[in-house]
Amino acid sequence: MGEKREFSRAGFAERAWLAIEGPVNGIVSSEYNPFYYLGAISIFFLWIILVTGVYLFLFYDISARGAYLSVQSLTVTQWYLGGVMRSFHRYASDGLIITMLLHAFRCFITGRYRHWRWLAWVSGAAMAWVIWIGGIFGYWMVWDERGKLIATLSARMLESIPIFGLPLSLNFARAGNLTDQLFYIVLFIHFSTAFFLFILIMLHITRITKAVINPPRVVAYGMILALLALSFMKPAISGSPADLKRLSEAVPFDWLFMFIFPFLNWVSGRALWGFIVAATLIFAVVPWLGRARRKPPAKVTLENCTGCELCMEDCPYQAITMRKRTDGMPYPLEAVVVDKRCASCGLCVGACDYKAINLPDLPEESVKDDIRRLVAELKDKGEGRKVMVFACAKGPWIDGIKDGKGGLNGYDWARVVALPCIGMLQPSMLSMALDKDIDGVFIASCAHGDCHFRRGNDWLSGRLAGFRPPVVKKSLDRSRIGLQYLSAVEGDAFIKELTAFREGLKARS
Amino acid sequence: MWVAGVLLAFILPVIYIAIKEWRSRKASEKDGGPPRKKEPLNWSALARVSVILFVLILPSVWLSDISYSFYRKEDAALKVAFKLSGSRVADCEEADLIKKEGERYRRELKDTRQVKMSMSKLGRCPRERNPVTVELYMDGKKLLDKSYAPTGLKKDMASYVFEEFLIEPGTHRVEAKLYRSGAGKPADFSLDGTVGSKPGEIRVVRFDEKEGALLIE
Ligand code: HEM
Ligand code: SF4
Ligand code: SF4
Repeated sequence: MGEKREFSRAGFAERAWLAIEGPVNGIVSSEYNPFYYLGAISIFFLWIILVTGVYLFLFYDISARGAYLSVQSLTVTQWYLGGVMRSFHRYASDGLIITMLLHAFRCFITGRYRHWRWLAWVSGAAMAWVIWIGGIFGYWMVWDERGKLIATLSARMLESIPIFGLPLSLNFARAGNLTDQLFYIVLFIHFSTAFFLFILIMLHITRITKAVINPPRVVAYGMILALLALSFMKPAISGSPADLKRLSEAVPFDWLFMFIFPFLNWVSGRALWGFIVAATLIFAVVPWLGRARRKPPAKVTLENCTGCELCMEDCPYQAITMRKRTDGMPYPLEAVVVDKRCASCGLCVGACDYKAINLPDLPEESVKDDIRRLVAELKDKGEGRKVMVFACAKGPWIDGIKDGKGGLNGYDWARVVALPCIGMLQPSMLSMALDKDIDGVFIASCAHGDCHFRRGNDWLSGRLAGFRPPVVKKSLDRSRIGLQYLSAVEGDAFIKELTAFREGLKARS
Repeated sequence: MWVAGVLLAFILPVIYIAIKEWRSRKASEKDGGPPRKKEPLNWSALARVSVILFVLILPSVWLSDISYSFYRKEDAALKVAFKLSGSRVADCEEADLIKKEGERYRRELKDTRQVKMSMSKLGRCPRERNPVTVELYMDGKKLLDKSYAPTGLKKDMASYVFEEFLIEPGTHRVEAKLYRSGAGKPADFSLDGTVGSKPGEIRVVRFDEKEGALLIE
């Protein structure tokens, strides 16, 4: 056996970010905190974009002469529906960029992009490309002065790719050159981005078990209300019709989509492509940059495994597959860990009732040894209520986790067992900690809805509530078990809640 | 309509996936999840979430509407824009060749009843075209002297000419020469005229196929 698992504290940037988004839990509960659903919110924006887009398409005249007028008349004569649809389409797209950037930033700042998450990261980068391309062509379709400028600039970009033979710009040189065909192609590109996005999303979440792809109902309705408010506050409208005889003057520009074009003022199209490609590559290889030691993956002890599939169900990254028994035991299946996908989170340990799966650097037995040792230490303490604490290492950075010894400075009546994720808390560990001489067990989970390993705290609360196997024994006195959700920046709250929990405990009879 | 067909082809997989996903969620609700009652909507949470989301996407109202002008107000532009085929590099009467080949084919068919059409012979007739070269002078100053290669894999299609110059508004003398017959040959077309352009205006030098001449538009 190698070294015992050591935990490290969340970095300064991560804590700063958590301190910003944490207070939102005070306004809406963590169940609805938008920051915990940025991926799902982005997908819901995409649904809105798709539905409103189909509606707009029904009225869109796919021709050089008709395009502008058809959009304009829909906006003006049907402001109550078509106009609103258009505004929804616009602001959902802008909202999508904002939530996508926040989502990516959040994954980065919380360190959720390396190792087993690389596929999500890289496919995320591809999605960003597709979304930006889709938006650029969308503005083009309106064919107002803004559309003309965007068309001119994007044509310039496209032409600067050497293999791109025909100069698109010829189409915009004179009104006579502008063909309906071009509008068909643009519509086609714009629409096909939806198709590519759905494929990419499938890829994005392939390695994620039961990915949260729908925001809670309240958040979904909230998004619709927010869009509705924006639509009436400032409806999306067209500028004046594109005039090919004149240079574009000042136009309202959507910087969320078009930020790249102004660079053409200073650099050539080719240089700009070089920059974009380089930036994309750097972004895409971020998961492999810098050093980051990976913890050893979970190991199955085949003699103990019954093939019950519970670990597979609970593994957040689809790192466990079941295969036909290989050792002649009378069970049909056995669990196999795909090392590359394993996050070493220990959720499978929490799910296994047979001691059949373990983290090499933190085996179930060593956790239990710690529990026994700490319980014994507390027993020797004599009077006063005693509390065993199970703490998620991603939560508050408390003494017991820091030194790995389990003591809590100034609170001699408590001992701490640190776990990489609270989902690793196997029900038998709970039973063991709630020894007859211990008055209560306090479970400090990370923030609700923001588990670093996605679902650990959900699975734990399911086991406590008795609907997720393996369940916590009915006979365990639930009034002696406290559960709090605390993020890495809520150290003070931890002490407060722990003390309050202890005071609320009845004395053992 | 083909567009409708294509769109349908895109929407169908999306609908298929959505339904599949929905059904698998239904299925996963059964296994292990807490027994879910349809809870009544939490109105106060909705109000608060809406406000937060509104604030979150509010910046897009401005970010999508900041005025931007790529060109300066006092800019005007002169574009050179047209499509033109250079002449064939080698004179090769394709029609004539086809006729001759056809005759041979018929004759030999009568004699032997088994002949091959010699496509390679036809293929040998080179279809490659010369590049199109444009020289452009404004007020006597050279703005452009560039060759535009023929397009197509066999270099047998038209050349596409597109350039954009930002110019001072006002009246300018514009001279242009157009070469399409290969190196060393004199200009095939030329133009000598004046353009007046106001700020923001775009003038275009182009080759008109019908008139067979360079024009300023
Ligand atoms: C509109 C675009 C995007 C959508 C709709 C989207 C959606 C999602 C969803 C639904 C999840 C699963 C969340 C969960 O259940 O835990 C997810 C995870 C993830 N996304 Fe995205 N995403 C988008 C863009 C991006 C971008 C641009 C990046 C970064 C380059 C990114 C990086 C990630 C990562 C690293 C994860 C894994 C998080 C984890 O393992 O905990 N995503 N995304
Ligand atoms: S939970 Fe344990 S016994 Fe069940 S399949 Fe996984 S390793 Fe085997
Ligand atoms: S440690 Fe976590 S990621 Fe690895 S197999 Fe177990 S549950 Fe899956």
